[in-house]
Amino acid sequence: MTEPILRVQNLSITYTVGAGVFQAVSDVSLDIYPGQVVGIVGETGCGKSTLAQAIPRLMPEPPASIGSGKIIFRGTDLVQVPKRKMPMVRGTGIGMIFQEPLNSLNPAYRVFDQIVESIQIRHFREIGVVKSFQGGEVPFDYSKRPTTKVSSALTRSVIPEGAAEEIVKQRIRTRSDYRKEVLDYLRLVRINDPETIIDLYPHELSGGMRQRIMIAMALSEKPSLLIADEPTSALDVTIQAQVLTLMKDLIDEVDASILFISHDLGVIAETADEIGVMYAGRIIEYGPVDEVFRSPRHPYTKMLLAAAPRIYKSDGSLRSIPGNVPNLSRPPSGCRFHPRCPLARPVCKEKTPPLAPVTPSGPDTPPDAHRSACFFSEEVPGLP
Amino acid sequence: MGRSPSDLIVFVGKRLVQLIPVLFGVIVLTFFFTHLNAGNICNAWYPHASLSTIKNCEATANQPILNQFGTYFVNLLQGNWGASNTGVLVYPYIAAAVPATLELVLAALFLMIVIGIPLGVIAAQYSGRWGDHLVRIFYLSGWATPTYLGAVIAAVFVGPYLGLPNHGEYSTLAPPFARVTHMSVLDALLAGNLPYTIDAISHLILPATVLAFINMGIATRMTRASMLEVLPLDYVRSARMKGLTEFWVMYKHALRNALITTTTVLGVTAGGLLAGTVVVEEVFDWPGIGQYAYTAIGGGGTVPNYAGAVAVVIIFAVAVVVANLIADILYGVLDPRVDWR
Amino acid sequence: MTGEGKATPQGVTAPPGKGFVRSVQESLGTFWRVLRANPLSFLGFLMVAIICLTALIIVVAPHLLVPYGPQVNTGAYSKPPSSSHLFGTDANGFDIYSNVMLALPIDLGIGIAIAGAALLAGGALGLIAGFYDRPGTVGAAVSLTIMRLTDIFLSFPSLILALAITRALGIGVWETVLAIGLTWWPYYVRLVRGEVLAIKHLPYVTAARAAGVRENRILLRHVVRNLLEPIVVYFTLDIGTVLVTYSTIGFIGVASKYPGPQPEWGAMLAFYQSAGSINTYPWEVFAPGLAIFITVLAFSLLGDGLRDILDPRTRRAFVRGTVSHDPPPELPPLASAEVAGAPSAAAGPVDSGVPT
Repeated sequence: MTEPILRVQNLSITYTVGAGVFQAVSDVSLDIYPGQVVGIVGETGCGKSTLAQAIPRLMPEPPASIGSGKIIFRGTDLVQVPKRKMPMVRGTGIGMIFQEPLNSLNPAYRVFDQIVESIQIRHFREIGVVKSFQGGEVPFDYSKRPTTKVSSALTRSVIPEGAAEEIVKQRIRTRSDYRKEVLDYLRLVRINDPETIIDLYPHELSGGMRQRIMIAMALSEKPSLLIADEPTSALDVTIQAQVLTLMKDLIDEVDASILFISHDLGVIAETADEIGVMYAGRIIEYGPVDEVFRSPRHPYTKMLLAAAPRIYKSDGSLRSIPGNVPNLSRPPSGCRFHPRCPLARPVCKEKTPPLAPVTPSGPDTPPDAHRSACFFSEEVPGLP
Repeated sequence: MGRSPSDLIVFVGKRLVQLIPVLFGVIVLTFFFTHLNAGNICNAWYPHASLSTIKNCEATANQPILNQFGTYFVNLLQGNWGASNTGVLVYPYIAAAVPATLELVLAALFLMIVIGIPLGVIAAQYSGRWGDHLVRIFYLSGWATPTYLGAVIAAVFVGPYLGLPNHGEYSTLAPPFARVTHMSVLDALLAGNLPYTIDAISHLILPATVLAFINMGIATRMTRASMLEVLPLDYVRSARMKGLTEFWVMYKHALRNALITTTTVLGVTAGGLLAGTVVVEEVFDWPGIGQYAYTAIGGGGTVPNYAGAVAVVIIFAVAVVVANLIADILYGVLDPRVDWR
Repeated sequence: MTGEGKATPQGVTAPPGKGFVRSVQESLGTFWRVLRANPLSFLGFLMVAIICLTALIIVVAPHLLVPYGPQVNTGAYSKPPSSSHLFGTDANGFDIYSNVMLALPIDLGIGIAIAGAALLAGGALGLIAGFYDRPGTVGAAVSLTIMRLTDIFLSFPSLILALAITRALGIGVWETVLAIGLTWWPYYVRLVRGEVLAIKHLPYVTAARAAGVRENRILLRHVVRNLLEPIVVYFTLDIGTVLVTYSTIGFIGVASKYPGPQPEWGAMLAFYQSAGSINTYPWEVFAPGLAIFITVLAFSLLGDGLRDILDPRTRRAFVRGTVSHDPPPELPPLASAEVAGAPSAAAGPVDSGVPT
């Protein structure tokens, strides 16, 4: 059994704002193995973005603070790493792409300059000019594909075959050296006319184009873990489809693990291997994506799936989950879903249900077993 | 996109053309204000008896105001800027004095940029906390210090305490080389005279620091404000996520965008700096137009130099207009979204 | 100087439909919260309050705070600060502390008067320039003239222009006041006109116009409401700057004479500095300088702190009416999930301002 790339253990994050202390993430545990795509789905306000940004410690530490728990990335607990050392992990260790392409690219620099910056960061770390963080010393072959095609950018190593010592130590490369590499990355993200795009400014590009460039920027650093925080949510549907297709292709080509955050069930269903459902700061169900979608074992998941409108049959009025998402500064006791749950019993108010395997299998539970945080998970299939 | 080098020429050219009516207005306004009670304008311009016969002075004495303005304007363009009571022609004196002030102002600007902008970045980073408060106290103190107070304290107390000279451009009255540009440090450099270069720089330190300290507030405040606008934006997060250290995130990514709006206050800053030179140059005995203005206006009880005063007012206004022009152009260059066409 | 040279307003908009008095009350409340939030601003507020109170006392009952008259020879010549003469005495035996104190109301009053006059004149011109700018009318020509004039005036550094005008007008307190006022009004023209234009194009103004309400009436009401906050901020800051300018002109020697029956800080500084005795009697120069510094610092702290109110980013923290947080009522468990009319599952956010 290989080690997980990322192991989150009992992570709790609170936000202290004027209005109160919000428990954004409570006791979340998650494992991501190499090559896996894990999706986290949930409504706005459930804590998924907080979780995503907490892993590379991106949130400003006041007002946010990590109450307890561990974030073990390739063997190192990131919670213990002092914040000023975190830049070493980011980029080449953990990469991230964001939701809003409009503002996610620096408007003052051209596409070339922005991608080159990522390449240079990786370059300097690989040849040891800048200290970096690498969990293992195994040389990292990023690409899954043995052939050299458009994605040769991913397999190309910094050190050319049979190069002399001087070239190996070469730190200063000229603009034209980099240009070829940048063009390769642009082609990697299926940009048709990279020669033109490369010299443009972000405000001259469309949303879908910007998102591709962000993906290119992230991949050019060859991170072992890529976090995608709602990458398609701000795009309109047709562009969304294009970018999703791109991402699915890249998932096949690239040897990174991906943590995919979205509120869109459909997007997660298409891309993820395993899925975690979050509600009010807790993961309330986890498992292989097909299993969770076909037979959900938590009332919330079931009702969420039932609420999705289906074009092909008319069931009457749209179903919805009654009530409101709880205020995270005063969360409900016990199971946080109990105020809105059709299966709620007195015990749900008193005790918090653990995320336990649906079919108990003792100490040998495989990591991808279907789990649910409900005392009455076996009753869920019986819900309408 | 309209941002090629030839487009830039169009961009600058358009703004230069827009300058002209403003400059003309400046001259008209100066004429209007300074001739309010001047009586015989020509005698006021050339008070020294021997000079008043220059340039048809007698003829203009009793002409209608429009003709008087015409003569005034023509004289301006030709460089006949009048003379002082003692017969010293205004134009040649000012031509030598302007570069000296320019040097002083540039040195102050340099200090303001090198100190003021990082302070603004720090204030934004620690917004609401003690770093922010300290920076605020610092630049508000500068703002609240009247120029003469700061200059006098620096010259009389700080200078001798630190061993910095507080008088003139060089330690000797006349340097042993030709004053080509009338900028003290530059002249010494051009003459290859190292000891005098260092001497010139040490004379520049105190007056430039005083000017910078008093006017730093505008730049710092503006930098802080635009950094606060920029820092929450997503690309700052993206830059962090690339693995850049906080320093590079601040200066290469955030500040690069924040500076765009900071350039808009360059014009205001120039105005403040120039106004400050009047007092600073007088206190530090720096031979620039500020000092000239001080005596021309009648400061410290000197006999007012009418022609000199008019000339100085026009030059200052022109300088502010030019500074605004530079700020405008700088903005267009720095912000990639501006179309130069 | 008002602000950083921006011609456009900071995006301050009072919500439609609120009465004028309510808006004023709200603004006052916001100002108060801004002050309390920042320790420096509150300090500035306290300092300004103390200074104004002191000035009032000196005018009304000078004997309480001022031991000697301005030109009274106390018999102690050139004495350093002591318990009997807080700021020492000068070569004529005059008590410097008394002179400094007596100058306070004048300097403060001048600062307020000039800033106020500039505000009124500039504001009026700004209103005109903003209202009457429909092309092709006489009003448009007037507006254009006003704006061109403003641009030209703004090209001169205020001090220089003021000095030039005093050259023309002559030496004296009122002449200097007029001169500075004449250089200060353009800043307010820009501010007011910018606000008028911004409001002119707001949707609800267009709607009101379509409904038949007379345009000018709406504009005036909304403009005045929205201008309240920026004007208060800039006025406060201006008092300080104007004061510095006035005393700088006083220092250059063209404002008022010292020693004289009415002391003024700048003139005092000029007199003592030119006496050439700074190294031996430094307190002569320090006293009026310190007085100016503290006064201007007080107004600057206050004004700079209040300026946070204009920044749309920091505004939200102070304006009442931002999202308050009430817990949703706990619903009893329902037998069925089907409830018509309940909020949908995919939406239902509760905006706590916290990113999730």
